[in-house]
Amino acid sequence: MRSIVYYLREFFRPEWVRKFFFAKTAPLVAPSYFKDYPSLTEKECTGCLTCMMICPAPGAIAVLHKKDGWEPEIYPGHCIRCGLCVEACPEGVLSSGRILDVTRRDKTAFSSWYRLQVDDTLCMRCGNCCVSCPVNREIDPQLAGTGTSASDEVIMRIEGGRVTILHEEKCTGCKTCENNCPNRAIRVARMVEGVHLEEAEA
Amino acid sequence: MSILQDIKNAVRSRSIHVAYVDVGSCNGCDIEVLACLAPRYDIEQYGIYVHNNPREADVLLVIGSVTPQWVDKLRDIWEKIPEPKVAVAIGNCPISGCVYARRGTLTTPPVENYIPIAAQVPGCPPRPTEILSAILSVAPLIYKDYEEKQR
Amino acid sequence: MYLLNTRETVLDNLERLTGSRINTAYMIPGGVRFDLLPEDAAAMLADLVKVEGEMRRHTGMFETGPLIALRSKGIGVMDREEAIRAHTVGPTARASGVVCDLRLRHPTYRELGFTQVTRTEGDNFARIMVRFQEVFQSIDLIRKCIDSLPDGPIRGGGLCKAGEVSYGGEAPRGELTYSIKTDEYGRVVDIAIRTPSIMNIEACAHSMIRDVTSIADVTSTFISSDPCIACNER
Repeated sequence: MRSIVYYLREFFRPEWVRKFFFAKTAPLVAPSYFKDYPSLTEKECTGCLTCMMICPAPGAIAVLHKKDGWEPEIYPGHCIRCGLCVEACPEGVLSSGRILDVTRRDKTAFSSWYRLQVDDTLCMRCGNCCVSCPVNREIDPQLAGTGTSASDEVIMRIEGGRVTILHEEKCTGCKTCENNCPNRAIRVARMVEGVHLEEAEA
Repeated sequence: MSILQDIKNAVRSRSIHVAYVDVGSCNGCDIEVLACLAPRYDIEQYGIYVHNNPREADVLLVIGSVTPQWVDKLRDIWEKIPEPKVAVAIGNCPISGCVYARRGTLTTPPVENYIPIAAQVPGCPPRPTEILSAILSVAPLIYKDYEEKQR
Repeated sequence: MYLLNTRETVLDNLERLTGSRINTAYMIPGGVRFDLLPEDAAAMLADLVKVEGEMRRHTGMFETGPLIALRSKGIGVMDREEAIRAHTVGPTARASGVVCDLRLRHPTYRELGFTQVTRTEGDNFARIMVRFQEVFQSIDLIRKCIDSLPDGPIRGGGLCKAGEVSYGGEAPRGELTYSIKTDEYGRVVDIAIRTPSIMNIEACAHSMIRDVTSIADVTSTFISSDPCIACNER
């Protein structure tokens, strides 16, 4: 009997009742070192598209042309929060977690370049790749509809009935040519190497 | 507004039953839904109960990019859930397909093509806190005054 | 549930090191992305002590608790010959006394003085205990690694070139084999993955639950082979 009274007194204390019905743990916050979706810093984007090129998830980041210059935009439904774009950006436009601090401290970077490869057995010499290439159009605005060009500075042109790649190093890796190719004959390979900055300069 | 509706609102806000279905994920989001049960996040203090019976569920968590074998079964599961019901897409895969949304993969994302999705929790995988806040924020929107809205 | 809380501690350390909980995106060809800071290493060692203490408590519960032993000792027995014939891998095979740990042949693990955990009973209890003992072994390995971590660059730089390789490593569930074929720019042309659960579930279906007499034990026997459904259903 005494125990029942004890329990009733114990459980009808206002404090206990309040805790039982209304106690909630404090909302948990993500720690500062969590790699969240990349956010913009004040730095100015130059539109080099390196972030888009290194992104492993399709359609997760796009560099858009806004009124006052370029601006990268992250699409959360596609982004896997790996933070590679943050690390790859040469200007430090994006930031996420403490990646920027860590890369500055460790002096690590990615060096990337692009390789173009044309499969001659699939290529039907339409010249779509040469015409669609944005770098080509900038260098030689008078690029003919068949992909021929008088300029020697273009990345690729149709020469003697086949695609000739002249300046591979100018490629920005946008894969426009790959998307415009009807036969998937041209392939762009993105080569990325993780390096230390001292080694890269040496 | 009737008194009955008030009682229903009060009860429903403290008792949300969750079923989750994995339609071809990599186990990453599954394990994060499971981590919500851990004492640190403690999903049951909000009145959310996880059990895998669609007949009892209010909220369906869809995880994973949809594989062809799951297309008709997912619709079956959705039909078995009694009204009012709501589906939440957990992770990138049901939203967009994430890294599987490219040429030559055997998945058919997004999941919105098959069942109506009320909320999306992006992330690969999302944090348990994000899953928790999504369920808590979407459930009252659907369940509050459900019978009134039907009329 | 309490084990899940221990897991949260482990994931915190993972997050402190890589910035993400599950999908860490940490390794790149020729190195890793971030260096381990001294203060992070100290925090990690402090957390390891905590994890080890909690795991000792839980292991004691499993090892000496009469109820768990009653339900799992002598249930779902798979002897050594059956385990070899069914090609089981990982803790499932090690509980039956098969020497099958690929880490024994790995040079890094040899340097760390790795020895295999083996039990000979081959029942559910042995499979659980092998996994618990491997937790302590892994904690020791992490401590040795942090002690002997050399200074220096964390990225050597490396490129994927054309080639074809098949490599098996020891994953938590057992031997995981990847066969990858790449073209000259490192793009994957062909890939085949053999996950450990495929063999273990087969062994469970044919050897372990053959002698089980009650439905409740079928569930526990199936779980004791640690099946990963996502690894198989593809």
